[in-house]
Amino acid sequence: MANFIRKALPLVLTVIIVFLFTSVDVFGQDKEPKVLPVYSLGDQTLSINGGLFVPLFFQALDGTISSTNLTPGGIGSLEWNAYINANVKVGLEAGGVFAFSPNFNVLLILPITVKATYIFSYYPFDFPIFLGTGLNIIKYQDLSHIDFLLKPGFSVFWRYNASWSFGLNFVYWWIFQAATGSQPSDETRMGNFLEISLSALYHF
Amino acid sequence: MRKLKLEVLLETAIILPVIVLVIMLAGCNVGNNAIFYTLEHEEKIIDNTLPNNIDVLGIVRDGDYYYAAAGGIYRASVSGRSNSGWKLIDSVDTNSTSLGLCNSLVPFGGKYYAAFFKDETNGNISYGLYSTTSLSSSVVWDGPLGTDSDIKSKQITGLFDVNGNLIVAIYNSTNKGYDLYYSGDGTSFSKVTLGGITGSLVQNVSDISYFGGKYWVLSGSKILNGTSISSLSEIATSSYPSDVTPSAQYEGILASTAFSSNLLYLSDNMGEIFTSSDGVSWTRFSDSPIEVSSNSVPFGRFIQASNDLLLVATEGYGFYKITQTNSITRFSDNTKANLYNGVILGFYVDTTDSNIFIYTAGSGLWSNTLSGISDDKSWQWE
Repeated sequence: MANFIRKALPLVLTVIIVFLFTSVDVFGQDKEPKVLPVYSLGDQTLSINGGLFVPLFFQALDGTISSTNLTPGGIGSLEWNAYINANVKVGLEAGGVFAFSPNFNVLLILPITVKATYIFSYYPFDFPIFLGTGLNIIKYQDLSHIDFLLKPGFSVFWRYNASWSFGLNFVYWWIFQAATGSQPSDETRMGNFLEISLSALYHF
Repeated sequence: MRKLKLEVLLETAIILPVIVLVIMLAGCNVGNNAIFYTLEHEEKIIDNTLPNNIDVLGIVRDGDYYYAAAGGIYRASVSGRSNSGWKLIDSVDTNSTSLGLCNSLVPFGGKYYAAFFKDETNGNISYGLYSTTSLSSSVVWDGPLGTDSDIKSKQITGLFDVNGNLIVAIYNSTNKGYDLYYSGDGTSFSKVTLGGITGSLVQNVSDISYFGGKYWVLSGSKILNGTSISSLSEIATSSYPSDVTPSAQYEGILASTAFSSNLLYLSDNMGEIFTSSDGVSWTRFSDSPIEVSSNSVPFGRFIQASNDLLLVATEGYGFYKITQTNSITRFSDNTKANLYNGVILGFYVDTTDSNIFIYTAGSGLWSNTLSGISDDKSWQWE
């Protein structure tokens, strides 16, 4: 599976980037005059995100790396943000993730994070970099856990018009799952995952 | 507009940091389950070719093959079933007529006995108990056994080999209850007299054992016993476990020699397991019923896997291991969800090759070696 992803990823990214630039040319034929939207304090956005969730590896406290044994899964989320100024926005994100174990048992992850974003703009593109943090509710079989989550990442957004942008996100997930209660301490794991998702973002 | 923006600023500047703090505090590792650790160590289940979604209702060994009753009868080599797999065999009567579905299969007196039922073209269902001296890839069964006045063509609801008797539970469609018949030779059957019971048993027989010179029969909330299988009576009220949950129904009973003790083990559907050395005074395993997520565990039948291990079935929680007279733990490998959450119908131990089988309702057949049974990860799916 890892080989497949390694081989397929460049192709998928190439197709997406070509599509984005092609779209610019196509929509660039529009006769309407372009207005450069500038966002400021109080402007808000809502976005819906969906895509691929790639399990990378688990790491123990002693540094040992091990396989997650999970299949690539799916992710979906909703996100609200408010602009502090033209380049900075903060917001909340809640979503869901699924992936499957070797015996096809489903792992469910429900992250709830706050997020700070800095946006570099090069019209008609925005290049947000961001850091999200919060709690991560994980359910597997009859097991459940609530963990700490860090989500650094970056995106490429194309402004379709003043209200809508569409983008591609690359987000690294770092989940710290400590051994708590009666668990032996050597069962602590840091989960490392990669989110590759598409977004539709609405400005209001 | 300006006011709205200021409100948003207040939201973002004040509320979000508070939310961050709350989330950071609340999100710091709540729960006692090592999910990532569990995933890291999950192994793909070895799965032989027997369908995984079937009800398995009995398993026997004849020669170098196992035979599993699961509607049809499936056959697999003892040593080579991972390669050659399980194959459905033909079951016909002496007129070469297909016998339909098999819902019980037990060895008794050097023969094999199976209960069949079949939808007939006239809309009726035919029932019968059949026997054969040997099993193979195609079996011609003798029967239906018995006479019209006993078990012939009756719906078989239980088949037990206990203390040299083949005991047959049947559904009595006349009085909508259950009757017991027994046979010492597997040919002629006699009705068990049930003292203190008017008509038939209201509920089916869930298990039978022989302990302390008596036969012990469970039927719903009733326990019957008797020194001869020909006549059983409900035990005295004072001989029931005194601390049993009032609505409990007894599900499993086993005469055990494990842990260097001769004890009678009794389970019920309300999370309770009792032991008794005399069948009169009972000791419950724990102060309160055994629960999972505040639900009482509905226990079922037992098996003695070795001199220091008993297994007890559950309905929906896999099985539990009894490793000392008063110590019980649940099978722990929750990555094998179909076993961990399985409805376990029974167990079979092949002492010749030291294999153990667990048969389930809707989750197929699971196997392990007796030597590997201490490792919960070593169970495989047949």
